[in-house]
Amino acid sequence: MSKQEVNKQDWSQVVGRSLGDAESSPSPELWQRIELSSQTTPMYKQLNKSLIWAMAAAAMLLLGLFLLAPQPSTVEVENILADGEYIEHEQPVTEKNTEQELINSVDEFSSKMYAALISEEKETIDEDILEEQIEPRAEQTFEPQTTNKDRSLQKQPSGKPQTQSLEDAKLSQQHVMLAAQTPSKTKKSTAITMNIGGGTSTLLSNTTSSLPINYVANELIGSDGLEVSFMDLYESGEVNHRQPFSFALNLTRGIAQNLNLTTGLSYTMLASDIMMDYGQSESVQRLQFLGVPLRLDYNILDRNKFTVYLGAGMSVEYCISSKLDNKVLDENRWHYSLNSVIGASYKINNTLGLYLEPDLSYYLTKTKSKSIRNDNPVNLTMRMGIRFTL
Amino acid sequence: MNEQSLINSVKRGDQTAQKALYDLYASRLMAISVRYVGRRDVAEDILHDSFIKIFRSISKFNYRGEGSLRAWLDRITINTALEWLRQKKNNIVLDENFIVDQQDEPSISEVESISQEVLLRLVSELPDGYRTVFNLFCIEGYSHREISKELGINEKSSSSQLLRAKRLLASKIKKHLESDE
Repeated sequence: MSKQEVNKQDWSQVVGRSLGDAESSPSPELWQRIELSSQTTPMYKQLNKSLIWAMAAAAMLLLGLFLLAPQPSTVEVENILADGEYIEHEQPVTEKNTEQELINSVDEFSSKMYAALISEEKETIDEDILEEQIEPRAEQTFEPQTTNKDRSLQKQPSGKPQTQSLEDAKLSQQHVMLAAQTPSKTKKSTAITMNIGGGTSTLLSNTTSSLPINYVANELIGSDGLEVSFMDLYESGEVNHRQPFSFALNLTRGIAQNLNLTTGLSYTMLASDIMMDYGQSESVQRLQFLGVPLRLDYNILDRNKFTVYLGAGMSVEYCISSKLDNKVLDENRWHYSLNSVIGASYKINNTLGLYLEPDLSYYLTKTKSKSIRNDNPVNLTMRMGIRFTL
Repeated sequence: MNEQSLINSVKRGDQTAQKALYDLYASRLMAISVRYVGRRDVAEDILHDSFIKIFRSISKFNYRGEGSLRAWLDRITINTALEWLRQKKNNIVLDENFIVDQQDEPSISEVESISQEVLLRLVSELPDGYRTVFNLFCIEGYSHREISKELGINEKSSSSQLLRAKRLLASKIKKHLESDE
């Protein structure tokens, strides 16, 4: 080291030593500001580890519920319309619902179901008994007519008479009922939803389930007088749940060291495609919710801009719309859920941050309509987005 | 009240003890804040945030004898100031554009003749990058490797910033001495 370098180091070291012990008085008002700020965080002193453990236990419990919840490979057919509340009839009987059309429809259903019945020998029924049971209702509803021959020729199995009497049709109705007792076919799939804005989510669940025939019954008949005969006809349809869409604006406020309160406003839409086996129509069911979450987060790791946290809370949602195509569905208005998260956030600045949080939610309120929440009340949601910190 | 019992009182949330701790260390920590951020108004905000952190996290502090409390308080204040500097410019920007002519270095006696207040002002007038590296190297005693890790820069940049900081500070000291004469 040259003499000049030693000299340079010396003068800077003198500056360092001098400033190392420097003092500079702050303004007299500063203490009042500090006192005021520190008084806003008394909760921290009251917090103990038991709260943190309780939050962790809640998260684990919900995770356990999720893992243990039945993941049905088959879904039992449900008689949702039995209480007549599932669909509100908005449209009056139209001209297309003539008796002839109805009988043709019955004929079509019957033909298909009869074929299904033939293939399943175990479900053969004593026709005499069935005829005896059906007779009174059929007399009130239908006039004896022959059915469309061409259609019968196309759709009826060999061995079945080409023309079908009303009794045959009625018998087939009963066969439909029996066919409905067999498990419906289901398929599993994974729905991923990503919302950008306040937050984004990914929802993992079974997205397909069976559906009673009542949707079709209403579409075809729409008549109070005749629907009874169709209400009793149940067969599994297929509901394909679309990716749930959720958008949220979240606000987070620190209430004590490592403890944050998160709330905000969320919008969620659960859409399902309803595919009927009969190929009559494909309907779309849409349930829309506005919700307010309230959650307590505890930072378990806080390194500079990166934070890992554990949170638990609940969410209240109000169903703002429930429709099957343009028909209004009867639906519970208030929906409650318990939520637990483990999340990671990256602070862009003091106000803005990015976050990624797997959210395990348990829905306490079931939807009346078939929905992804109804099929599986415990949902794992992957949320990501931007967080505003106050 | 000795330091140990003062800490215990602050840990219990005793507001009188908090005020006593503030009175003891506020001026020292204010000088540190000014050294790092350069402006008194910002330095007061840094001091405010530092004391909030101190009161919130003092329960984690283990007293290890004389000097340990002061070092802990210094560390919190420096970290708070560095955090502010990072947020201010998204990261601490290195100042490569200042052209500093190599001038005669001030002698030790010349530097010693300058008051602490003036030296503080001169250091606080340095550009952010120079000032930060100068503070960490010459006052806190960090190595260039430690500075590079702390600021997310390479060691060469740290060394270069220090050299430029010294040249600029030497120039300022010389000018100050000349104006005094």
